[in-house]
Amino acid sequence: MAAGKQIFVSALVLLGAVTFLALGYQLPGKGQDVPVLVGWLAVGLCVLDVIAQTPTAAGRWIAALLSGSASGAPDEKPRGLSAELKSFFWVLIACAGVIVFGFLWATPVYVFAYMVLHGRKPVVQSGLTALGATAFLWIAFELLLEYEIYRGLLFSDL
Amino acid sequence: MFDPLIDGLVMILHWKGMTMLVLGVLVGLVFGAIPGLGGTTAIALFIPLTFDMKPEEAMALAGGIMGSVSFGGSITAILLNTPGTAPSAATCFDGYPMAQQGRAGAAIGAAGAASSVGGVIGVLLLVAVIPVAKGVILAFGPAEFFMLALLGLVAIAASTGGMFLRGLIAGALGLVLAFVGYDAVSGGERFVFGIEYFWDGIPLVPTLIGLFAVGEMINLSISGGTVARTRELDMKVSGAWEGVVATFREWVVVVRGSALGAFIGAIPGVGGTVAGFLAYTTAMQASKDPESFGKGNIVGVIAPEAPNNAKDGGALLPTLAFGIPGSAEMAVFLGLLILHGLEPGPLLLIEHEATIMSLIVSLTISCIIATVIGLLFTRWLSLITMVDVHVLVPVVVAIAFMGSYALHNKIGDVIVTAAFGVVGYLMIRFRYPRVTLVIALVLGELAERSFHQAMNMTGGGWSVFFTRGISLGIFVLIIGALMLPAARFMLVRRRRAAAAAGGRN
Repeated sequence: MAAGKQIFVSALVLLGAVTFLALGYQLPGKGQDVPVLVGWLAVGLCVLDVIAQTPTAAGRWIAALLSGSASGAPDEKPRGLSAELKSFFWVLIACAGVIVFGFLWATPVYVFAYMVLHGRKPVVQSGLTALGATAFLWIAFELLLEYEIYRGLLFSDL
Repeated sequence: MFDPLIDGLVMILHWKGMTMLVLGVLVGLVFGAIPGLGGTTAIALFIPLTFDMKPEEAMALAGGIMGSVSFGGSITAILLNTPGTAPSAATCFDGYPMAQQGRAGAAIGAAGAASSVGGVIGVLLLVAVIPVAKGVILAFGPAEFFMLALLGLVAIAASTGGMFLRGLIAGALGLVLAFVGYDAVSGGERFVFGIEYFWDGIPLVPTLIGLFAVGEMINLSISGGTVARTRELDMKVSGAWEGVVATFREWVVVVRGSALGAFIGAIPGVGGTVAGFLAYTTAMQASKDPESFGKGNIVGVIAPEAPNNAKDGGALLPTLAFGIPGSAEMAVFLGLLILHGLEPGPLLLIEHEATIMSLIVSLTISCIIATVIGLLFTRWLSLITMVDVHVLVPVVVAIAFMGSYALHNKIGDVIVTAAFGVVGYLMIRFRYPRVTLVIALVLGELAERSFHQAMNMTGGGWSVFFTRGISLGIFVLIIGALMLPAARFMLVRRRRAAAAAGGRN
């Protein structure tokens, strides 16, 4: 992975730690004691991590000393950003579908759409898997365990 | 000592308990066989199903899963050279060559028998240690619990294989998440940003389901293909009895490996993978024929399998007695305990002894049932890994969302699961270990409460952490754990320098 990307990620996490520390100081009384302690610790660790990602002597030493490895991070599988975004999209679509349409409508549509559009699977196989997954959820949760399956914002009053 | 054990046995032998146990074994074998899933995901996904169950039935399900996962992983390690779980990795060394020589059945028989006997030995050691542990934990005060929580975090970060710094950062992130919600010390809310949902804090189980189940699914979705990276499964699986007999013939290897597994399992963060490799190396060093290892020696299968299940007995001790989980699987299991009103800690072993014993009995029985079922359905279990990930991913995501929602009938839990699924994937991608985040999230409340109680004891002075013997002892261990990666680096460097000097000469 490019060093620049790693530094960017480490810097982003450092920014999060600094924000948390600042928010921690705004907490009243004793409620801030431990968050502030953790905040300072997190900031210190994140600074070390940022330095460890830089191609400097100090960076190499910190990386080696704090990873316990003399050879640095192992090679990683190349992953395309678009593939990652697509996978996030499918999870978010499933989540949004559940919220709006409920489990009984969103599950078969999501499973079917994912398999056909993302996985390039045959329509019949996708349809059967979608129906099977929905039937499993309905039988296991609503029939056997007697949970009330969420019907979604659209159908909650029906 | 034996009365609670018999009570636990009676609870499990009830038809509901046995049904849950067998269901747990089946789930554990399937999830164990699929690389990337494993016991953590299995327990996380199945926690919601236990909501209406009695604690003993939930323990039976969890015990069934924990006792069978590693054997599921070993079957694919032997047949496909693809360990379903990390602790089964060492089994590949001799298991796969045995399969290639047409002795897959013997290897699977040996793996099953060794992991069964190992599991039983691990549980027996746990039962023997519990009475002693009860006395020890009563000597622990707030200062010791605070130090113990820190030790748990640092030890796990130190064992994350080259990710120590990011392990500590992930631990800090877990603590940050643990601070969200109502604060008993100040009496106000923290980091809720006006969102009512966060008043009760970040929910543990939906977070776990997101980080492990959904996070893994996103990862698999991006990699594509089938779970196993091989298509060869044309060998015959017969002769399992030969492996079972060989296991009992090599009883020294089994007992040594089991004891090693139980001991290592009790150390937070070290886990079954180390135990498996250590047992393998020890068996090789003790063998009269070390050259045959790696070429299909059955002892090379027995040795790493014995600690595979024995480690669970050891790992349960700090989880149950102190509420300090030593692995992601134990952290998820802790979530199950909390869901059923079983608060881990000193009182758990005293007030709920029968329930804990039902878990122990489940673990013992499940190790044996898993072997029998595993041997019967070996070929089918291996075929599971041939399932295309694009079939597996949407189904598991749908079940994960349903499970999250079912816990408290809150749609917010589904959003948390989805969000932590993305976070979980990003943590895999950028090498931030998820296990330290989860353990910090679990330990955050205990650590903060203990910190304030300890500080109140001295009117705000830090001396309480360093003037009490046990607390000071744990502090020394924390320093040791912090130094471990640096020491490991120095050692590797020195060895390389010595090898280079040897090469020049």
